[in-house]
Amino acid sequence: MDMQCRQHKAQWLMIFGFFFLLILTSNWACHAFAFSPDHQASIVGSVERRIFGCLPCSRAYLAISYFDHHDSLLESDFHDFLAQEFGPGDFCRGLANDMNVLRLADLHRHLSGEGSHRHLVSTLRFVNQSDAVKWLDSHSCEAVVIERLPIGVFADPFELQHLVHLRVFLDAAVFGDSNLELPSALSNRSIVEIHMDIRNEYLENYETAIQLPLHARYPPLDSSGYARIEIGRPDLFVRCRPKQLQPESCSWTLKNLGAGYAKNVMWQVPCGNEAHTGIVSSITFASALTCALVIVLSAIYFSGSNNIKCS
Amino acid sequence: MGSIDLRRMMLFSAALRLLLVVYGEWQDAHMKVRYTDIDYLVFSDAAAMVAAGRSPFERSTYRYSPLLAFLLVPNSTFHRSWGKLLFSAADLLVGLFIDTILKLRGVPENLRLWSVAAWLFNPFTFTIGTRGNCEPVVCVIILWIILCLMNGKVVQAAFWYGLIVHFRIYPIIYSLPLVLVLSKQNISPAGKPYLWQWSFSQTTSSQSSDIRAAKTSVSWTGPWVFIRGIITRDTVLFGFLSGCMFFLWTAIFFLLYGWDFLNEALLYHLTRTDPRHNFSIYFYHIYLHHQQGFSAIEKLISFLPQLMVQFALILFFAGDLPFCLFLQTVAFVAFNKVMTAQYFVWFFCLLPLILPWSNMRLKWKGLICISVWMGSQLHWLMWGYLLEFKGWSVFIQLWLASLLFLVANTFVLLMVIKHHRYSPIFMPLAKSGMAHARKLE
Repeated sequence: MDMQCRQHKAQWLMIFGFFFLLILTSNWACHAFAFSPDHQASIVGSVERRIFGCLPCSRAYLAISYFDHHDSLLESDFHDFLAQEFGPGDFCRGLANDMNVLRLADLHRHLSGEGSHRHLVSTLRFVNQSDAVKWLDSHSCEAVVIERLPIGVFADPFELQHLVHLRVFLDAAVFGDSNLELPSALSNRSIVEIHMDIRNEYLENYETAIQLPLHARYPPLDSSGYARIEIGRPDLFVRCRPKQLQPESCSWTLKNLGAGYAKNVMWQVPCGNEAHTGIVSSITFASALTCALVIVLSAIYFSGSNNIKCS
Repeated sequence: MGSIDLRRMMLFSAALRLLLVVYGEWQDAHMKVRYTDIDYLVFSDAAAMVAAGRSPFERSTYRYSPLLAFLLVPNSTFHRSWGKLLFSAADLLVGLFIDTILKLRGVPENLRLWSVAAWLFNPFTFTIGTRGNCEPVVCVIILWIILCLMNGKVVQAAFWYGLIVHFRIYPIIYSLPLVLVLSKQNISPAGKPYLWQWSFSQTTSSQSSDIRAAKTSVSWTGPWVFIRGIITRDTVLFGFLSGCMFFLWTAIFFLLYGWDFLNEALLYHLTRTDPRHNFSIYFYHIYLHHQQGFSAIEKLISFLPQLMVQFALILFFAGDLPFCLFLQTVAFVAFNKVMTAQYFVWFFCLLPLILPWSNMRLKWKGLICISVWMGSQLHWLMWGYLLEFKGWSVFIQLWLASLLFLVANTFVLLMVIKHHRYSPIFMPLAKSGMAHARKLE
């Protein structure tokens, strides 16, 4: 009985020993074939272009169809898209000229908060003039902010919908890659479009602040321990329509406000260091293996000694 | 007196949970940080989709069985806290099942109450249900499967087992021990298996030899004899029925929602490699390699320690089913490639089932175990906070903290194994025959 028991124990130990050897050899093989990763850089920047045109009321968002025609987000492509989609139209020209009463005096941008979840605060200061207040008596106007986010950050569409529900924004949507989980290296850029109501009180108070919640993705590896993410200037538009509307001929008149004064916003995101790769992988697997073996051996030992002796 | 105490305990727990659900509503409405779990919002959105006749997988990051979305349809028709009440009810039912299982195993009343309290008043568990996490539903079904097996209801156990593997996948690790204990159970003429009864004293030499008989029949046979011994009428029935249940649910939802369901609810969990920080020791390794992907060999290596441990624990402890399931779950979570705090509930519900057989006293060894486990977790949370909410580049410290947490898990696991009085759930054939003879006399 004793002999048989020992033989069986030896058989199981051999099986575990085989596992152990397999792990050691395959761990070595993995490191032997490891190669260095590519780095991707985000592209930021903004080109000013004058855009005005007509927009049917059925079209809720300006950027909605950009990704139908483009796979990636480039500034030039995006501005060409806007110019093409909302090029000057005679029908809207008159209203667009009247809309010059709504002018932006200043756009100030900064990041608030710390860590991976922050707010991009854009403060819009309008030129305070009495004509604008009068204009708003007879017209509904919205400020449309289009943020072209770099790869390293994203806005959560569900969080934005929650804010729309709470009436923080009039409307908000995310286009492009809105995956909330993938790291930068496996992601693409996205566009966030936010609509804010322009009301008389904004003009009287002279300014309004838009707080867009943003989240950092895990950036590509870098030896400095931090990745710099640069968020470029947004595209700002104002769209208006008369308050007295005929439903069959409902259209917005759109005009860009220009964001020439705004500076790019920088965000430092902690990232992994490529130099750690070898040591981290080796120690991770060695620890897993050691702890696994300790558990296996103690299971063998205590199953024999705890109340029961394999006699 | 005992039943009153249990009733009081249940009532108090129910009131506590109700209060927390109400408080959660208040915090969500008034404070910046929500009390409600973010996953609960995902479930609720998915349930609203289902209520509107759409696919729950239209809600991105919904990665559960559509059954969960169906369960939560009243969230949009009745009240948004419906799900929290449902999960808290499941949480209370777990307490009741703990008492029933221990009662069947002959554990005296006071010990049973302490064990039930270890679940009902565990701050991890009562907050997880009231925050809207669905894990208590999984726990209650796992305990119900154990109860079914103890009552000889193999068909019902198979039904629930197939369902729960479809629902949450991880209980697949219990398949081998369940089959092993089923193959060794001896059914009484009344149709119920003979159960080992709890005894206070250290096992006597006669009990020890009986346990040995039960144990050796599971563990110390050669591999071939071992495999041959598994195949019995009950195990084949259990395996076939639970397999059918799993594939039936999977087929139904595949027909309804197509590849979205298969990719999100099933394949995602099997292939999940999360580079974002979590308690798992593998997170930094995954992050450091995410740009180049993983070879099949690498995936295999990270799976092998897990496989070794599971295999060993099943071989040596399967006879003592609740103990084996507890150890397996702790080890599975500790060696998993992704580990979040909600996974801890998977073994918290099994812990009260093994407490009456532990020689470990709360003072001091028990307290040391709790402190080591909690301390290493808090240490990890500190680095996690500095990384995520302060933006410090502390990946290496966080990874070391996760290694420390693995060591703490291993230490606690060893302490639990060392101080456990092994007690097979079912009586071996010879012993149960004698017990039956004694009963007839």
